[in-house]
Amino acid sequence: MNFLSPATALIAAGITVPLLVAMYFLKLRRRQVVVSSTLLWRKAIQDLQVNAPFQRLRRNLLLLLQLLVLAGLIAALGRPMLRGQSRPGDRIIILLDHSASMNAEDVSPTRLDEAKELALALIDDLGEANDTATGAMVISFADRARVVAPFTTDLALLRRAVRAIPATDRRSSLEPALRVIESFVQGIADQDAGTTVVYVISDGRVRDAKTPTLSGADLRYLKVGRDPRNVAVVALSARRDFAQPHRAQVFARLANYTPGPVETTLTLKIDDRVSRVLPVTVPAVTGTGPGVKPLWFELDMPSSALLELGHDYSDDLRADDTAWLNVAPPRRLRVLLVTAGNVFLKQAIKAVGVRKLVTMTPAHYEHQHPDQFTRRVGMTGPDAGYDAIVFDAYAPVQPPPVNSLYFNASPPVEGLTLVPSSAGAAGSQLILDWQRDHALMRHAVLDQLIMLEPQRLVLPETAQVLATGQAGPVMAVVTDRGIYHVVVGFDLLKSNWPMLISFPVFINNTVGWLSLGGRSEAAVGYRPGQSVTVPSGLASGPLQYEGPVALGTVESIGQADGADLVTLPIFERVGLYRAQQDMSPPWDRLAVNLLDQDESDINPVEQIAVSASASSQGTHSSVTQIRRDLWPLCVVGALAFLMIEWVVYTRRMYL
Amino acid sequence: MAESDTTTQSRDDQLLSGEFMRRLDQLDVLSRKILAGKLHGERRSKKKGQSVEFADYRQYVAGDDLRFIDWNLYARLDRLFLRLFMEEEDLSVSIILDTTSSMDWGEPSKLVYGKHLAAALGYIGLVNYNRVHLYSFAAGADAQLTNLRGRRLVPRMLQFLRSQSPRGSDHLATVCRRFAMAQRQKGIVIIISDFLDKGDLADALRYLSGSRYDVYAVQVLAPGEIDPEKGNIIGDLRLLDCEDDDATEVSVTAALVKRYKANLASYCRHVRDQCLKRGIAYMATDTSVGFDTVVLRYLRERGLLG
Repeated sequence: MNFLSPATALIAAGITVPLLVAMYFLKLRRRQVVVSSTLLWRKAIQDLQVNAPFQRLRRNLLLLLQLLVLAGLIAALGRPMLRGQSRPGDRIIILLDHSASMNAEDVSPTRLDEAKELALALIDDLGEANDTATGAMVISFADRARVVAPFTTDLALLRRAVRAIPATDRRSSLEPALRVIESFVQGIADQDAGTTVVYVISDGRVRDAKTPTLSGADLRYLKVGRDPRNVAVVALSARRDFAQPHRAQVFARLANYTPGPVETTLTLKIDDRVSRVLPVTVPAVTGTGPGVKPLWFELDMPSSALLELGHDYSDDLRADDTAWLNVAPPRRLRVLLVTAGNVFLKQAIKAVGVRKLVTMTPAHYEHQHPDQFTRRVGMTGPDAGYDAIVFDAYAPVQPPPVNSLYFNASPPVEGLTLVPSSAGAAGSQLILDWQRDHALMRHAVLDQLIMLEPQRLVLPETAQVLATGQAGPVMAVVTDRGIYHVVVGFDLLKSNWPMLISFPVFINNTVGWLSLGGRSEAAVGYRPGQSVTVPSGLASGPLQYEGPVALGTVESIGQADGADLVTLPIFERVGLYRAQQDMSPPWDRLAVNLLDQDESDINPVEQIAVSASASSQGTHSSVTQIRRDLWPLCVVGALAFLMIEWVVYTRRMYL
Repeated sequence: MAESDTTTQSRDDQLLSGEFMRRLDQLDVLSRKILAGKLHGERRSKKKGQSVEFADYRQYVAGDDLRFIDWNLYARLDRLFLRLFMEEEDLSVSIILDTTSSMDWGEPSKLVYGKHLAAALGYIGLVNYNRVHLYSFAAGADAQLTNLRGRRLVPRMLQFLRSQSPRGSDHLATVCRRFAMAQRQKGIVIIISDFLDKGDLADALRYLSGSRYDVYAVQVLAPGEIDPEKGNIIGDLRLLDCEDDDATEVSVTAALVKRYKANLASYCRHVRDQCLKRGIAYMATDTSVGFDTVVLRYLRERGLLG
C-alpha cells in the first residue's frame, strides 16, 4: 500500500497529533464533590494502581482510540492505494471501450463511468510509480479508435482525457484500437525500452470479424459489468406494397438476453399517436442466441409517417428499448437507362416494377440539360426527372445529379478510376468476396459469377467496396456531394451474370436503394456512427437538429461545394432528431437506432480472445485486479474508532 | 452531601416524638459490668445498703444499727443477727457524639442521626435515674452536659443536643484522651461516630479500654459512603475532604468503586476488631436504617438496652 499524497498526510499529522496529545494532557475540568473523608478513596486509588498492571494503559485507552481515529483520517488524507500490478518502467496504454453496451446500467451509474474509474486508478498508479520514464496513452474505441491522450507523463492531462471520453451508441470493435497502437508497441519492443502494458477496459463485447492480434505488449483485460438484463428491439423495417403503395408492412424483432422469458408490452406509435399496444412474451435466451420474438404489422400510411416502436420492460440498456423509423411517402419509380443496347439490363430493370423506364443512347444523354434529370414529384404538374440512372458501358462527362448505377464505366468523381487488368492477369476471374450484409447485396450470391477481363476499381476513401475480384475491388458504392454512384467494374456482356439469379436480385436491390436515396426500404433509419447529408434548400440559416435531451443537440456543419446540401455530424447516440427549421419529409425527422443484435447482448465476457505473434512474449488476455482507493475504508475505520471511543467514554464509569 | 445548618436544625427539632418516648420508657440501660455509683439509685450495687431487697445476715457487732437486727431470729436462736439489704446505686451513662464536619454528610446527615440516637439513649438513662453525661467533640470546641438525672431534665438534654452543630475536625485519639481525663467515674460509655479518622484508631480506643468503662461503639455511615453511586460520586471528580479540605482527583470507575467498597468493608472490620480486642461492643449502622429500629432492636440485641 502506498500513499498518493504523503506530504499532506504528514503535515496534517504534524499539526493534529501533538495538538491531540497536548489537549489530552491538559488538566481535565473535574466536578468538585465534597465527601466525608478522602481516606478510603486515596487508598482505593493506590490499591487499583498497584493491583492493575495495565492500569496505565487503561487510563490511556481513550487517548489511544483518539489517536487511532486521527490516524484513520490522516491516512485517508494521504490517499492510500493498494499496490497494483504495474511496475516502474512500464508503459501503459489504456484502451477504453465506449460503445453502446458500455452505457448499460447494471453497474452504477454506467459501465462507462466504472471503466473511467478503473482508468483513473491506473493513472493514479502511474503517479505512484514516480518514474519519469513511465507514461501512458489513452485511446477510446468503439467501431473506431481515437487517441484521446497521446503518450505522456502528464497525469492531469491523462485524467482530463479519460473524464472527457463521451458515451456513444456505436458498435464495439477492438481491432481498430489495436491497429492504432501496433506501431507504437512494436517500436518500443524493437528498442527494448521496457515493457508495454495494454489495459483493455471493456465489457468484452467486441465484434471483430476475426481474432485481433497484438505483438510485443502485455495485454490485460479489465472486465466491467455484472449480470445485466436486456430486452431489445433488434430489427425494425418497413416496406410499401408494390400493388398498394399507401399500405406499409412493418417488420420488427425483439430479442431477449435474460435467462427467463420476459413479458412486456409493446407500443407502436405513428406520428406520436399510439396505434397498437400489445402484450408480448419474448422467449428466454438459449445456447445458440437470444430469445427472439418476430412481429409484423400492416399499416395504412398514405403519406410520410414516423413510426416508433418500444417496449416497457425495465432493463439495463435503454438505447435499444425504442426504435424509430421515418417512412417515406409512396412514389412511383422513374429510371433512365443510358446504353447502346443491352437487353438483359433493360429486362432486369423492367422486372423491378418501375413506373417508367426511359432508354437513351449516350449521345442523347449528353444533349440533355442536367436539370431535366432531377426528380420532381408533381404536385402541380406531371412527374419529371428520374429516381435513378443506369449507365451501361458509358461514363458521363459530368456527374449526374441523380443516384446512378454504372456497368463497366465510372463517373468523373475525384479519386475514382477504373484500371484495366494487367497483362499477366487471368482472363476470366471469380468474385473472391462480397459484402453479404450490405443492402445492395442482400440475397445476391456471387460465387458462380465469372468475369472476363474485369477492371479494377481505384476508390476514394469514402467508398464502400461491395465485391472484390482477384485483381481488386470490382463493385463499390461511391458518394459524391450527396449523390450515390454504384460502380460495377466489368462488362455485363462479358460475364455470365445476366444468366444468374443474383443479377435481377442485384438490379432490384440497387434500383430500389438508389431511388430511395441510398436506402433499401421505404423507411429511413440511421445507425450510430453514420453521417447523413440532407438538402437544406428550405432552411434559412444554419441547419440544426435537436435530439432528445439526453442525446444533446446536433449542429449543422459545412456545405457541399455549390450544392444546397449539408452534411450533419456523425450520429453518436440513438434517438430521434428533429429539425429546428422547416424541412420537407423525410429530412424533418431523423431516426437513429441501435438495431444491433450483437451490441444489445450486453452480458460481459470473462476473456477477450487476442492472438499474439510468435515473437511476442506475455501477450495474453486475462482478468487483472488493479489498485483501488483505500481512503473510504480509512474514513470508515476512523468513524468506527470514533464510535468505540464514544462508547468507552460514556461507559467507562461502568466498565 | 453536606447539609446546611438550616436543614440540620429543621431535622433535629423533633429528636424524640411522644410515641417513641413511650416506647423508650420500657427500656433501661444495662451494663455488662456492675459499676459503683455515687448516689442511691435504682441499680443494684455491689455494696449492701438500704433497700427492700434482702441480701444476707451477719453477726451483730457493737455499733451496728439496732434497727436492722432480726428480732424473730433472736427469739428462736437467742443470738443477734443483723439483716443486710441490697444497696441500689445509680449508673453513669456517658454519650459521646462526634460532631466533626464529616458527620454532617449524607441525607439525612449522620449528625442528625447520631443526635437521635444520643437523645434516645439519654432519655432512657434519665428516666431510669441514671446519671447521664453528654459530650460532643469537634476541633477543640468540646461541649458537655454532665450529671443529668431524672426525667425532668430531658428537655435540657434535648436542648443541648439540638444546639450541637458540625464544626472542624479532630482526631479520635485526642477526643478519647480528653474524655478519659474528664470522666473519671465508672460507667457506660456510648460513642457515636463514623470513625472515619485518619489517625491511629488503636491509640484512640486505648483510652477507653480497661475496667472503668463499659464501652459501646456505634459507627454511623451514610448510604452514599457505603455505595458511592447512591451519593452521585461517579465520573471525573475532584473529591474534597470536608474536614481537612484535602483534595483528591479521581476518575470514579466501576473498578474503583469496587475497590472502594472493599476498602470500606475492610476498614469497618478493622474498627470492629480493634473494639472487640479492647472489650468494646461494636455496632455499625447507616442512616437509611431507622434510628428507632437501631434503638429498639439492634441495641437491645447487643445488650446495651434491656
